[in-house]
Amino acid sequence: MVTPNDIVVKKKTSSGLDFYKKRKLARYIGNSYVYIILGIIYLPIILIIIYSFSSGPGFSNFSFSMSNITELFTASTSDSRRMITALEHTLFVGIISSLLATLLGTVGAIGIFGMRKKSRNILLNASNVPIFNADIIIALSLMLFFTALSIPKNAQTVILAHTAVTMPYVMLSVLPRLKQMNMSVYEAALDLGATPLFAIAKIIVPEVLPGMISGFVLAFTLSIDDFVIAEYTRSNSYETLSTYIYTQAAGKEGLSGALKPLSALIFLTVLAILIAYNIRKNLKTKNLQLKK
Amino acid sequence: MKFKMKRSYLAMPYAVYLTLLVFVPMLFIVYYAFISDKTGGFTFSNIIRALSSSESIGTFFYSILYGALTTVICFVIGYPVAYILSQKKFKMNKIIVVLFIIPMWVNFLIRTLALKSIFYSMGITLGKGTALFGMVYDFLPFMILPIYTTLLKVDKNLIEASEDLGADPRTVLFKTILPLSVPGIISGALMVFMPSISTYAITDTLSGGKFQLLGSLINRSYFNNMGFSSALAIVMLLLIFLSMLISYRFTDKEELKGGGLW
Repeated sequence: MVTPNDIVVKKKTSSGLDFYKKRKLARYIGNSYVYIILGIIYLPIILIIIYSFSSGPGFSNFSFSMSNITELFTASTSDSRRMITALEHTLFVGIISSLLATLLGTVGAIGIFGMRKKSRNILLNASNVPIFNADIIIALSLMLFFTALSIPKNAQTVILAHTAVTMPYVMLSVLPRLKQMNMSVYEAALDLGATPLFAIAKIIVPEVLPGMISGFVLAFTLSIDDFVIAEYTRSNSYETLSTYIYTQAAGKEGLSGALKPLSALIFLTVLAILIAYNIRKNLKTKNLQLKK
Repeated sequence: MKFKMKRSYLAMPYAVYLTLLVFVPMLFIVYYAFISDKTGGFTFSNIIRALSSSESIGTFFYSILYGALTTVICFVIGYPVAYILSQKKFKMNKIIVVLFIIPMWVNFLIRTLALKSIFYSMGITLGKGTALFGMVYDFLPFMILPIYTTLLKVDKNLIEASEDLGADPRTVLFKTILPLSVPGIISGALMVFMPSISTYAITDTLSGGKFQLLGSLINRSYFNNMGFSSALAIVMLLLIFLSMLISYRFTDKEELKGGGLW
């Protein structure tokens, strides 16, 4: 005999099963969705790597050839020499401007941290301007500024511009570190007779070093990724990688020959650095856990 | 009186540099917007042209339309991704998040040109659609990451509470999770909308020159018409200021300090 109680129990278990099945299905669909989006994002990059081994520009008609790769390393045509020079310029501008930005941003953050609330807020809000401003406005304004002061446009103008834009990012990544540290140690060093600069170098800088490093990396990536600001503040002969690539953009096939293996190389370098970094980080945390 | 070194003085170089290379140059834009290119005298004609010529009004319309379209598409595609990644159950979610960031280290022009190569090899003619695709492709991580970081910070107890109080999954999503992630959505929308109206490299490369947004118009006019270009830049500056004001209303201040994404 079936009692109403049984029915209720039966209903409950079946809906419970459904519930878990549904959850599993939802998770399955969700995971596949993430992987599909990731696949679309990576498709162009994978094609770049594959077609590095094909002759000619773009992604049409795969025909195996190492010509583009040898071209990248021998730079026999004037076009690929231009590309290599542009790459060197990008790295030069990136390193110098992010070193400058790290110096100014870190010292600035220490100063801002020691300010009164009112003036600190003014500077913090002012720092948001280059972060939120559109590249093209910054670029146009700097171009007008350099032209009006008749400062010759060259590597140094691009470096000055990039430093201005990336410096606030360094400042913002150092500031949280300062908030975390114990300022009494600094005060104690002053009481024990250290000069302010010595105390800053020996006590504050070691504490904020991680923030400085991440600020530097961020500044460097912003600098090498920038196109618009470099385009407006450079001289015609001083090309960066971005501005060189843009001169190739008019071609109907997209990526030109030697640009493919170079792009693949850039991507693989970034990947290798990130993997190495993460392995090191994992090892560190494991060691910490072991010590505990 | 002896000069005493105060710690706040250390901000001086930073403040001076910021003033000289960010704020003073912006004054030059204002100056040139009111200067006639032909006579070199004071004029309102650049501003009037920027606000009323059919060319610039059409461009404004297109910019806001396509900027909004890019933002909405990025949100619709990106929110589920951010949501799934923020769930603890998702395996290897930290690695996947890094995988979403890595392409941003590859120069965006390389990615844009690779898209152009794909379109060419598939025989797709360039136009508004391909330009829109390119913008969504390039800016999607800017939408995913702020939403992801906000969702990670959402108090899980609130979600459990709403479940305990009898809300079905859909209600939990729309009444609890979505409202709690508004700060991330706003900063994501800002980070997609602003570059998509000001970029000219992506639209010029992927539209085959068929349409232009505000950034392209500024870029194209600066060669022969600096005043008009500057006037347009001022309008864009006002647009940025406006959207920042709107975002300030919705976001907690910490999120807007720029550190959120990174």
